[in-house]
Amino acid sequence: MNQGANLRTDQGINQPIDQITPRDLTAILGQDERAALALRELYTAWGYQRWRVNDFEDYDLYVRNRDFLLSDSVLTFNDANGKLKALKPDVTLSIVRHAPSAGGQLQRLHYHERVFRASPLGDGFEEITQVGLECLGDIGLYETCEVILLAARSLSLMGEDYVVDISHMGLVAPFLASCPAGNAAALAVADCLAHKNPDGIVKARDEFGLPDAWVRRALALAAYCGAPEDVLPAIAGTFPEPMYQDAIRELEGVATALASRDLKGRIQLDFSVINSASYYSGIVMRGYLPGIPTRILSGGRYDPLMRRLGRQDGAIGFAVYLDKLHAAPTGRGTAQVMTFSANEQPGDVLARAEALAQAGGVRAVREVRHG
Amino acid sequence: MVNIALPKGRLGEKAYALMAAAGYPCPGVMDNGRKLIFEDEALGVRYYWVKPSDVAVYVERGAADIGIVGSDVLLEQRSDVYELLDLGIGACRLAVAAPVDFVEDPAATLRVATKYLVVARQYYAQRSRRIDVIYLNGSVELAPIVGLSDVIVDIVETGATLKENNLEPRETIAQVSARLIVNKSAMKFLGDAITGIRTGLIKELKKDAACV
Repeated sequence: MNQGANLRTDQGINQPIDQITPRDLTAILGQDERAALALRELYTAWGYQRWRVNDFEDYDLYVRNRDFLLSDSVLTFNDANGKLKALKPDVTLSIVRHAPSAGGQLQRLHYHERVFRASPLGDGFEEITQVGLECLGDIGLYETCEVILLAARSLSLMGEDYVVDISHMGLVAPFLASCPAGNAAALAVADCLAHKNPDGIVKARDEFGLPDAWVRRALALAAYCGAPEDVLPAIAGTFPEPMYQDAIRELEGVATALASRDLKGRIQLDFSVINSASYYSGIVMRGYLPGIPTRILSGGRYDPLMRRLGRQDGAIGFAVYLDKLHAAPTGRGTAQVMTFSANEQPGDVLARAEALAQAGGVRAVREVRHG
Repeated sequence: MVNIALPKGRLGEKAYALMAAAGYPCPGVMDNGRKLIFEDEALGVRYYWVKPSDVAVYVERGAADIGIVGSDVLLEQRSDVYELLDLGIGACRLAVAAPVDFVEDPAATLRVATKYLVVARQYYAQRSRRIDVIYLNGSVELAPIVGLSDVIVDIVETGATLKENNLEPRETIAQVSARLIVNKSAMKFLGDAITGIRTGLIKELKKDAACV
């Protein structure tokens, strides 16, 4: 132990190293690392067990469930036995495949894993840290509410302001399936719903000859967005048929249960949240934080995926994309920028730099001569 | 403050005129200078002039909260943004064009010159047509004239440029016009301001339609 050495953090903690506490150590972590720890603490407090997933998975799992993945491209390799393996691009598929069925018991699992995905520019692969939870088994209204509440609480650990958008595939999917002009028209309208594009729906009407009554409902669905108590009565009026009632009742149940949980303005119904009906059957959700341009959380009820992987019980969960936190505006910290010229002796520069480092932080930058 | 990305050029000028008429003017935006950012703190708007093909990138990545962009750019870039309004301005179409005397051989690979790689690939994939896509940044009309390609996929407004180059439109892929796009996260946290802009634009468009 170096006597006299201190631990300094962005939070201004200045402790001798032999007196540091776990809290001090937490303070030197990056924003995403702190968030991961806080999320693990949250999920553990609610009875979720840590589940670890191997980085390597059989490639065939992804071939058979390609549409479930955010990216088509999977990084593959042959193992020592010549079997085609993949670096996992997703956690949920592996958990559902490997977590043993608990014989009717509810399984509450959480994870903190790396996933590997193709870069959006197609120029390689990205390694992404993902934290999330899965609730597998006999999923009722309570479990659904618990997962949505935990999604909201997860976001609240990363920012004071946040929004969880909720939609229901039990409403959106049967409505799109009822499209009188067939699958191509339904896909076009689904795309418009996802982009909140009412003019596109009107164009689809003209292109596919959709009946006005059906188009009016599609336009209403695109426009419904807001607090559940404001939107649900309108939804119930627009979709009175029996095939929509289970979904509407579930949304009402969620809204009622969460009304007591200090979430006013945080939970919104928004039917632009559409996931693949091949994998998702119930509530689907996305979470947003101000300053982060894309969703930082997404998930939902994925009973059809369970069936595809041979399980008859239900499941709901979500993932938090911690890498997105880097997209948020960040503080400049306490480090000072110290410039030095190429003519200075490195020893002198080191002395100046170390003095600043001990005073709170330093970034030494060599001066660039222009012209 | 709502950050607004406008496409440099004619479409951006029309779009700004619409925004100004809708109640969101900003001094200096139309001055011909090198400045790229203009702000009106009282109205809560900040305009950026950016390359037309970059507008959706700025919005999708949250550097701008909203933007005005041609729907051809959205078709090509598949941007993950909300598309709240068709402004109707900048109307044209994305089309396949060929030399007037070109006779397509269905057995041969069709050589397609374009800057719309995604659109072209998707269009011909739907027709199970084998193509060789040649990416060009500009003067696409030149490609079939000098034998670089058989056809082009490009924007067609009046067709005058095609005609001058002895080309003609053969197939329309999509109608194109300017769209108001919104960053998904910004819509959650600046929803009232953005809805106000959309409402103002709709009112202005209705006025314009009534005048026609």
